[in-house]
Parts: sequence; structure tokens; C-alpha cells
Amino acid sequence: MSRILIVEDEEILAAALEDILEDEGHHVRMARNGLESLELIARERPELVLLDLMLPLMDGLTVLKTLRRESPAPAVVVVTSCERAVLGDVPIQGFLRKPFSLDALLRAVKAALLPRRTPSTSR
Amino acid sequence: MGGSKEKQETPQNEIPRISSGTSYLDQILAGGWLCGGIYIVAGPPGAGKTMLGNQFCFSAADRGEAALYVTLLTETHSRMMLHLRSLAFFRSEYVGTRIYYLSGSVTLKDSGLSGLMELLTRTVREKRIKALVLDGFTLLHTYAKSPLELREFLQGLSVLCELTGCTTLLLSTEVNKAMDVEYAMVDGILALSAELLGLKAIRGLEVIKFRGSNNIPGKHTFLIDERGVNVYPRWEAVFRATPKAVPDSSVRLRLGIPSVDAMCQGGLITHSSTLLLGSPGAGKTILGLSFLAEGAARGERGLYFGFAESAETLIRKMKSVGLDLAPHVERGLLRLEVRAPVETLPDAMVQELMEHVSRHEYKRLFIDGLEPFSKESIDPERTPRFMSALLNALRAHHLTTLVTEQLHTLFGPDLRSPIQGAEATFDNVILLRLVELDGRLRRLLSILKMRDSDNDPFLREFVISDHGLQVRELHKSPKRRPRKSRGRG
Repeated sequence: MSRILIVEDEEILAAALEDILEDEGHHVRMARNGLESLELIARERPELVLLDLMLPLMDGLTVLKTLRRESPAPAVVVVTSCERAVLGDVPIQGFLRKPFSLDALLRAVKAALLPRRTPSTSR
Repeated sequence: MGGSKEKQETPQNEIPRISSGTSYLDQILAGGWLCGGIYIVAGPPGAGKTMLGNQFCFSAADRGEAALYVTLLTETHSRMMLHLRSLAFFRSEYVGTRIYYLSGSVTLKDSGLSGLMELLTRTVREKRIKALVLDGFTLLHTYAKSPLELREFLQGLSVLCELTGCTTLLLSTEVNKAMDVEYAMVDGILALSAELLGLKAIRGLEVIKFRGSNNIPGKHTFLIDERGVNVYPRWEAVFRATPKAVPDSSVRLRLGIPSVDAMCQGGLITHSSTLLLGSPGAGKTILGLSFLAEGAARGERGLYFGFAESAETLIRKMKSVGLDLAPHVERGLLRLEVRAPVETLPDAMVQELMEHVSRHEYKRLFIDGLEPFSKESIDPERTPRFMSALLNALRAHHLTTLVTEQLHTLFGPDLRSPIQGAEATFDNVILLRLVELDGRLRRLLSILKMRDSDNDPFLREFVISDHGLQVRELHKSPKRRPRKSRGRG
């Protein structure tokens, strides 16, 4: 299965996401803030990042813009309470508005892990 | 008065204010939180702390300022959003752009109070935060290694707030004891509570401490509804002025029933307040609406503020007794406002009434039901003070007011007012009651009190027919002529 990084400052939610994705057979790591996420991405090379936007130390949008300069960049599913418009035209592979259902999460993860052709900017 | 948000110039030696996000709380705090201050908002779970904190943040965002909401061990941000989305103050476009929600629980667990302080300092400075909420402040007691560490944390926060002009709310589940470290260190403490009055829960807010400013002390009630937290200052603490408009006995407003006007020397003294005390079905509403209709016929705007029947029902019922209200309503000279009399808060009700009165130039007011204003209060002893303040405020708006109060005795000699002390605050008291006489029930009208008037001292029988309310004489009494009054006919 895939290597997934969860970047989420809310411990309870992060732990729940970790359990769900590990049950699906994925290898999961966690970062609590934006800075830590960039370090882990450089080291672990995850295929997918579940990225919150409101994060301590470095916000998710800065992380996202930094990642877009990387090649190859991991797929990113943004998981947030913010509106989609906050991202502007930064390409992402999925967008989940909190609160979301388990099915929505699994669908978004599955879609983001499909071989990418063009970056999606759709909701 | 009320919730006006007038901008006032801040004198140079005064600390600028930041709105709490709820206008009446700003009024209680004499203008809002002091900019750069640290305040504890304490109360049990469900008291409304989180909502108050969010209102504070969204209010700052409305002004274009950045806000930070840090949770330590509370509901998840997504649950919070779910609960907030339906509220009037919520703007989803602010989330992540002007209001930042962060969790500090991992930082606190991993790095303690110093780590949390570092997180707050960095975010406040980077995002230029002006409104900060720390939700779960009670948890800091658990993580602080000693009272000294908590003191140092608060000192650090105080310096940060002072330097950045950021105002902070610490949401806590514990109301502080005077000996607690934070009690001395913060700029203010607000305690939220909920008390049961019978089966009804009444939410209360009390300013325990507020440094560097006046405030309205004591307990105030508040509601949580689709607008968020709405605090209502105790009315008698808000309106303490003696109105300049005094009743002028040379100017009288007719009630519209000639025989009753004659009993009152030509009508009610302008700017006076009258209590219509009576049994159910005695005719109080008819008398009150006659008063408004009489004014409307003379081009005077009147307001009916009642609790029992809908406007349509009132119009229909009054038409059956010869009182056609519809043309006055259509011309905008009579407004019928009806509220459900369920679980009211007297202070909320009075604020609503005063906002209404402030927006329109009414001359006559008829409040059909005193109980929603006086019952369901935390402290029944408030009633006389509350009523005095209400009637003074109405007089200040140049209103002549009629208020009904229901006697719970259907018929008989018992005349005890159910709302102790209320009748003493009115200028005039008119009694309408049912008595058993010669084997049938009869309606009696008498004037118990009429300030500055030589009113009719007799009990008089009256009937209600399709010609309206008409008074007959029960006892022989000297014929009275209406006193000529100035300009009101």
C-alpha cells in the first residue's frame, strides 16, 4: 500500500485518521506542524500528504506552495475547516472540508493515489 | 441606551477598547475589553464560553483584524465549526484568512507551558493577531509544575499582549478563587452560570473583576440563540436617570371611551403610566386598544406590545366590539407587536421593547401583560426597581403608557396584585373586575389611584357589547364633567 503523511495539529483527529488509514493497509506517519511536515516529506518521501491548513509554526498553504516547487511532489489532499477559495489556484489532488465522513476520506485518498495525469483544482 | 454601537473618541489617557462581539456585553464593560488586556471567562461546560470566544474573534475579523483561537483540550475544530456555521456572526470566508484555529494540546504535552508560550508568541507576531482566545485554560494548572510557572506564563502573555496590542480571553471551566495565582494577574474575570428557576434554566453573567474601568456590577442574564450569546444588562442598573419629561396634568390623552375619560378628568395625563389591573375577561385589552385607537384617530402613533393573541385575532375580536383597528394599522398609526409569552427574560424583553420604541416616534404604548416582564426573573425582589426603571425609560421617550396585569381571582373581593410591589410604581391604577351581584356576574370599573387628579372615587358597572365598552353607574354619584384640557380635545 502507500506511504501517507498526516499533517494535523489536532491530536484526536490525527490519531483517528492514522487508525483508519492503517486499517486500510497504508503506512502512516504524522506531523504536528508545517515545519515538521517539510522535514518528514524530505526524509520519508510519502506518496500522499493529508494536509491541514491552519497549523502551528508554518501554515498549510506555505507548506503546499513549498511542495509545489519540489519534484517529484507528493499528492496532496487538503483537510481543513477553511473554504476552498483560501487555496487560490494552487493545484491539489483533493479537498476535504471538515467535518467529513469516513467514506469521503477514503474516496479522496483513493482518488489522490491514482496515477496522476493533470493536477486537479476541482472540489 | 440599549445596544447602540456609537463610536466614541478615546481620550489620550484612556486605553482603547475592543468589542466583545456582543453589544450589550460591551455596554456592561463600559465599552468592551481593554485593548491588550487578558481576561478569564469562566463557567461550567455548556455555559457559552466557546461561543463568546468565537464571537470575539469574528467581531475582530469583521473589523479586518486577525484573530487566533487556540484549543487545548476541547471539542475538535471541525465539531466547533459544525456548531458555529448556523450562527449569524459566522463567516466561513474568515476561517483560515482572518481567524486561525490551532490546537495547542500536543505542544503543551510535549513542551509544557514554555512551548505553548513560544507557539502563541510566534503566531501572534507572524499573523499580527489582535484577538486571542485560549480555550481550555484550566488545563494549564495540570501542566504547570508550580504556581510560579503559571505566574511566569501569564506574565509572558501579558507582555506579549501589551507589545502587540492583542487582547486575550482565557476560557476556563473553573471560577477562580481569590487566592488563585491568575486572579491577581489577569485584567478581568467574567463568570458564566446557569441556574434553575422551576424547570427553566436561566443563564447568568457576572463581572467579578474588571481592572481599569467602570462596569455594570452584579449579575446579568443572557440567552444563547441563532445570534450567539446575547447578554442583557439588568435594566434597573442601566437606566438610572430620572426622565426630563414629567407628567403634565394640563395635557391629557383620552382613552376613547367618554364615560371612562370623564372618570379620569378627561383622560390620562400625558407621559404618565397606568396599570390596568383586572380579572381575566374583564375588558383590559379592549380598554387598552381603545386608548391606542383614540390616539390613532388623532394622528398619534401607538404601539401594542402583547403576548396572548395574534394581530389578526386582536383586529377581529376588537371589530366585534365596535373597535375597528384595521384602518389605523394600514395607515401605520397603530403597530401590533405580539410575542410568545414562553420562557421570557425580562431584561431581553425590555431591551427589545426599547429598541422598538427608539426606532419609531410613538406617543402611546399599550403593554398587554406585565407578567413576561416581571415573572421568570431570578430575583422577584427586583420587580419594583425594574418596573420603575422601565416606566422612567418609557417616559423619557415621551410615551404615555398603559400596562395590564392579570388578577388570578376570577371574581370576588380579593385584590392582591400577583406581582408584589409593581402597582406602586405606576402613576395611575385602574381596576377592572368581575363581581357576583343579584345572581349574575357584573363587570366593575374603579380608579384606585390617579396621580395629580381629582378622579372619580366610585365603583361603576360597565358592559361590553358590539358598541364597545360602556360604563353605567352602580352607585349614585355626582355628575362629572370632563375638565377642559389643552390641545387634545
